Amino acid sequence: MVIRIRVSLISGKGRDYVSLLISNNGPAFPDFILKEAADPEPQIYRSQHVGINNIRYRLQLLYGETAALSLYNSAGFPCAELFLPRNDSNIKEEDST
Amino acid sequence: MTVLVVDDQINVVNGIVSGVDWASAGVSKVLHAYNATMARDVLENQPVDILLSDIEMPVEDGLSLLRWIRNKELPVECIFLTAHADFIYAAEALKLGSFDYLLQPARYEEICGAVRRAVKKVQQNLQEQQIYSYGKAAYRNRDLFLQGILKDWLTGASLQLREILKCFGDLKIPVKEESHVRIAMVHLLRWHDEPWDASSLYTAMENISAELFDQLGQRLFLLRLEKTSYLLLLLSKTLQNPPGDTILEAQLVRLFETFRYHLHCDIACYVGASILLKDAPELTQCLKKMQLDNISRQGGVFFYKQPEPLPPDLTRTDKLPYWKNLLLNGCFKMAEDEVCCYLYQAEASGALNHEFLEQFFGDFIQMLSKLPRGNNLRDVLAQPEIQTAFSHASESLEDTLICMQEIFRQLQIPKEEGSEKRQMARIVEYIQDHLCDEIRRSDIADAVYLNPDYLSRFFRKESGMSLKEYILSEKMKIAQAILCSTSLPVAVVAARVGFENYSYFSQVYKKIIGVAPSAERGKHADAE
Repeated sequence: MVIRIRVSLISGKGRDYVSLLISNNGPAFPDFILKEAADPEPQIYRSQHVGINNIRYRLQLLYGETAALSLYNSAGFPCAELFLPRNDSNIKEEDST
Repeated sequence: MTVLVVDDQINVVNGIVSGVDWASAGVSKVLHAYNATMARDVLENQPVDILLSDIEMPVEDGLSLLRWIRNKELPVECIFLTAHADFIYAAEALKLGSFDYLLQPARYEEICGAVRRAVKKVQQNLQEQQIYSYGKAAYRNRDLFLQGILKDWLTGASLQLREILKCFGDLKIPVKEESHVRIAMVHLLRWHDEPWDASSLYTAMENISAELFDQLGQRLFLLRLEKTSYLLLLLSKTLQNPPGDTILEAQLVRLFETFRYHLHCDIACYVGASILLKDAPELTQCLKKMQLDNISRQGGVFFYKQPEPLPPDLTRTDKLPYWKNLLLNGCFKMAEDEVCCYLYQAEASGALNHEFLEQFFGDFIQMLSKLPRGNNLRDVLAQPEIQTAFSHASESLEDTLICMQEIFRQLQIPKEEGSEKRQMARIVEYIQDHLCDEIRRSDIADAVYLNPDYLSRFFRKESGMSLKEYILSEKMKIAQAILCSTSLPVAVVAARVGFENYSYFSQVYKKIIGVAPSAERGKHADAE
């Protein structure tokens, strides 16, 4: 199993992102995972696949709606890509009162 | 130094053993016997240098013991002790080569003195023996000098000319520092029949050469440098009136013809000008280089001349990148033809020498070893067949060509279709890795070492679609996946797959996926 991590900068009009792409050469994501991952309001109270939703919520806490996690298959291999807003001011300060 | 004391009177033996100051005489060990039989037993079982013996003993006397020793050729010096100053005894003892004769009762000092002299004699004998064997060795080792010291000196070992002259002197060969010598290198190229074994070959060559040069008053030394290469050193036997250069050179040509005729072998002979002995090693190097540079393995007699430097443009090939390209594209036959053609051209231009080949070969191998990993081309170098061909590769044009052919042969072995699949995999991998960039055809071509036009043709042939179609469709698939799974702005998604121009992205997206990118969001919204 080869795990690859790619970091790249994306400059979309006025909104710059950092993309963290993690992929491996294992089996592709099955469809139901992809469907679930794309669901904007996922079921959180359950016993499996908690991790992905966990990350999603953390992203939301840190960056609001600007950040995104995308799961997809590319060339038959699973990819997980994090889009993090590059602008530091987007980051909500966790400890602010 | 060991002394054996023999007397039938025990008290006399004890007296001598304990009374004489042996150490001062140089004796380290004293043995004793009470009769001839016992003495013989001792003599047969351990080394004895000096025998100190009574003459009159029962059963067998001292003279008989000495006779036995002489018959056995034991290296023993003998001193007799006797109570009778009888001349017959003395005469007999002297005839047997006894060293000394002492009348009893002799004082211990007297005995000690006689023993001391005998010790000296024994030491002298030993030395003579040694010198004798040295002399024998030196005679036998004329060969050792030739094939050892002289050869080492000529082939560049840091020996002093003085030592060489001394060795010549030891062999009674009149050579001086200012003596003129001729050197010729004989290089056996190809055998017509079975090769000769080394020692008969050497003898034959030496005999032939000696016969031809004896008549010219030349002393000849034949040195074996390598399996196929011999060095002739010619020296005038007398220091006056050496034969002229033309005569010697003509004789060398004759020698070459004779060798060729008798040895059934193609020969190249490299002949140096007449030089001072001290310059011989340098000339030897030059001749060796001539031999190395004769990479076409041409036979004949070649006279040494200062080599001309190579034309600079031929010293190093600039065609390596091109050959590399051919190899990476699987055009092995073409690459082989190109390489051979290049070498033949170099030969025709007269620039081909050993350095050239070595340089060429080194560059070529380096090029192979730098080919990308995972590409079987590199592994070819590890093949045993290649390894063997390697060792001789730059020795001659023929050897280089053999090695090249072997390399190309091995290159072609890995399954032909596999190589195309691998090539395709490399292209796809590059594209997948760069989907977030704008991918130019020339970038891919550079990355996978293909000519851009060839790349396009190859890709279409292998995949059934054009390179551009493939890249765009891969990009759009990713874009679609991201659009559907996130709410990122479409411009960001476009940028993510390498599109700076949003409208162009939309256009392409629609064409490939069938709907506008914003429509994907619409579906998204519908789902909500």
